[in-house]
Amino acid sequence: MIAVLFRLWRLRQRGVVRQFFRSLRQPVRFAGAVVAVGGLSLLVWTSARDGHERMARESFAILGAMLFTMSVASSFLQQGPRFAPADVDFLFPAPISPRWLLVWRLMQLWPVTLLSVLFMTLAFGLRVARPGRFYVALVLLQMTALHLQLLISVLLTRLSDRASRRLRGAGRTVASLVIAAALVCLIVAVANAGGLREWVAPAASSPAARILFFPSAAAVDFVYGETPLDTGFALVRLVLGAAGTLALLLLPEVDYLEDSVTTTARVARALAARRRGEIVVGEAGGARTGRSLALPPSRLLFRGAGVLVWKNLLLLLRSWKAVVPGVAVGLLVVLPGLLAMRRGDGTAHVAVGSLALATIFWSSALSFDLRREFDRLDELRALPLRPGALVFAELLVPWAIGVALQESLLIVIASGPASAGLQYGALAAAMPLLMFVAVVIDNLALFLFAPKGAVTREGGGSPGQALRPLAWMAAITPGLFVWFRLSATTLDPFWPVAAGVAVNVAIATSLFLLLVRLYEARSAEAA
Amino acid sequence: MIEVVGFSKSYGKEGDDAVKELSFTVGPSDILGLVGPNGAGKTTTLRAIAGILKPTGGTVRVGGFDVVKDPVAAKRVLALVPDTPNPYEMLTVREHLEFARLAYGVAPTVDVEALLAKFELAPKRDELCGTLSRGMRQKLAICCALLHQPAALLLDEPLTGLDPHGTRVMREVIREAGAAGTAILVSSHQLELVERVCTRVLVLKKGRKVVEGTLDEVRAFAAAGAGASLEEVFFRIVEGDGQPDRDGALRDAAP
Repeated sequence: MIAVLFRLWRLRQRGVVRQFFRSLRQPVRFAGAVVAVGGLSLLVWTSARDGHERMARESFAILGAMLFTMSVASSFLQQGPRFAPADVDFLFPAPISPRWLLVWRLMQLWPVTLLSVLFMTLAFGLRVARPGRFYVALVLLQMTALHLQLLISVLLTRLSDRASRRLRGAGRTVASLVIAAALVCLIVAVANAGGLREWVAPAASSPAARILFFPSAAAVDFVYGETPLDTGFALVRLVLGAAGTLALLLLPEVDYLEDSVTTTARVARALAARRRGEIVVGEAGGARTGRSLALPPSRLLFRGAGVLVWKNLLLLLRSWKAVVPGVAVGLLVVLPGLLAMRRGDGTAHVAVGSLALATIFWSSALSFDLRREFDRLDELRALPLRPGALVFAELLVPWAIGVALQESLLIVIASGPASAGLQYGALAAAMPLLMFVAVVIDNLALFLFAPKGAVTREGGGSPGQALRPLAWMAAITPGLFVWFRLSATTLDPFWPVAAGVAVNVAIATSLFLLLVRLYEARSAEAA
Repeated sequence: MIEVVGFSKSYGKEGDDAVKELSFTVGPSDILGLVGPNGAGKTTTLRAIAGILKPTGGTVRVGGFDVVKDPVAAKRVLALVPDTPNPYEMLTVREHLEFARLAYGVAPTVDVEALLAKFELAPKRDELCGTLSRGMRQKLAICCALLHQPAALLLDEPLTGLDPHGTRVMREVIREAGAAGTAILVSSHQLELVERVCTRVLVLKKGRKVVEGTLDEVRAFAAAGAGASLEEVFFRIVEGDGQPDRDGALRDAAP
């Protein structure tokens, strides 16, 4: 059977690789690949340059332990391993046992592990004395975590319906919290900043952690081992961890197919919606519309084009569970800098920079605008509303909530010891504009890069999605440039700021008008 | 060839049965049409026979093999065409057929090129599956299912997305496969297809069998005239008055 699976795997991978190179013929995809390679090169260069701070043993211990924790905890979110929809349709009915189907799944996941760890090695591994060991250690650690992840998700299918329903509620919430906490620790470890580090580092290296995160402890010993005996013993532990968990996974013959069908369909729907910039209403947020989720439409604000704001707010209320992770990721980006700044490390600019970056995350997470309406453009155009007003109303919900989040965090940052009132005031004034540009660009990306055919279930995301952050930075840079240039020529801070804002307002207005034109020009049939 | 005895399937809460104590058999050359309103349990039944869903009660056997106890052996003689096939989008049509052949571990027993030509897929053989229309995907799934000449064929809404030519070819393929000895179970809302190709009909309603038999037997059960179409018979049965069926099971009262 392994020979058959290998031939199937080779056939499929050949198709994927061929399609990747074919896709480079499209200028946008080619540009995206060039940007990705450029970004990776920059990452390697900054990581490897002389004088860069070396990754301490404690930091690597946190990194390993948290990667392991996140992988294993995420398995509790899936009852039955996830497969590709095509696997469900063409391999599940085929004469292949569930055990061999797990091997098939691993054959898809192992190469991803090899590549993702390569990326991590380029990003962080060059900061350790032995990058080769860093790579091998993390590969084996991730494989162990992967095997455990699949094992747990398979064993979850053995639970009774009642137990699994309970687990779906409280258990999944706990798993989500563990993942979030692990992510925070990971960011703290990697950023080497924040007050949490003082207690996370000893905890990750404690005897209990060495047992609980056994592959992580072995990885640390392997990477930082000084004698051949220590290193060899650590490598044996790592290999045994990976091989042992694989044996555990393949030992019991569990029929998990039914649960996997459900999990695969659920994830496929969510992924398809995410590729379109949508959030699946009712998927995570539940389809119930209780009294708490009702919103009266007769308010003054919700008349005319405001009805679109009302509609988007309702959708947001009914999908809040699906929105929270995206918003949380934005918060996590800001967190290390925020913690460092509050400790008075003099790194407030890091917090402000990360807050600006969070704009992109929140614009993406709060996609309650035209991104959700792409298949209903004709219906929208049939409304008795001016296009400009309609498009503006559609953008209001993500913009307003994003700005509210930014301003709240800015207040927290500004209240720290490194506070500089005037600069924070200027920043607070600039945030609405930055968020507006981000939201407009996210909508533009959909109109400019949306596929004309069916939305694919496989393959990567739209190139427009990858280029959004760059477009956003390109859009706000002219204003910043004008501000900095003029600041050098005058002591009065007002005029440089005013000139910078004027330039960015002009750019934002132009982008908005372009969006309105594209909205008018694009037919739903073409979408 | 397909033997379903007392099959039940419930999702979630007890008593919330998608299918309840369903029994029927499909022998070689039999073409059984499975009809019923939405939510009647047709797809659940097909997926359970295909070994994808676990029965919560009863037994399902294909080719003499229990699909729960010996799923691999049962699947070897079986093929399922899902209602909305999701092929591997990065494979070409030809590669996808090769994939299906390898997955079933058999040498090609039919002429692949003839199969492609029959379903008008020959010009698309080197195109990626991701570029195929819904109808073409359906044709591809059917080609994949026929590759290993299964002894039992399960078709879930086989005409979905097919053009008139594809529809005609599909009908011919079902008849030919039936004539060659394949046991076929067709689930469809297209009653005309069922009427034209099926040798027997099974009507499901809310997970329970209402009636099973030849079209004439079903007509007689519904007290419909000899010339009544299956559509008329279907509406008489599913909107019926709660009489017991001939196996003794209670027919659900009309809402």
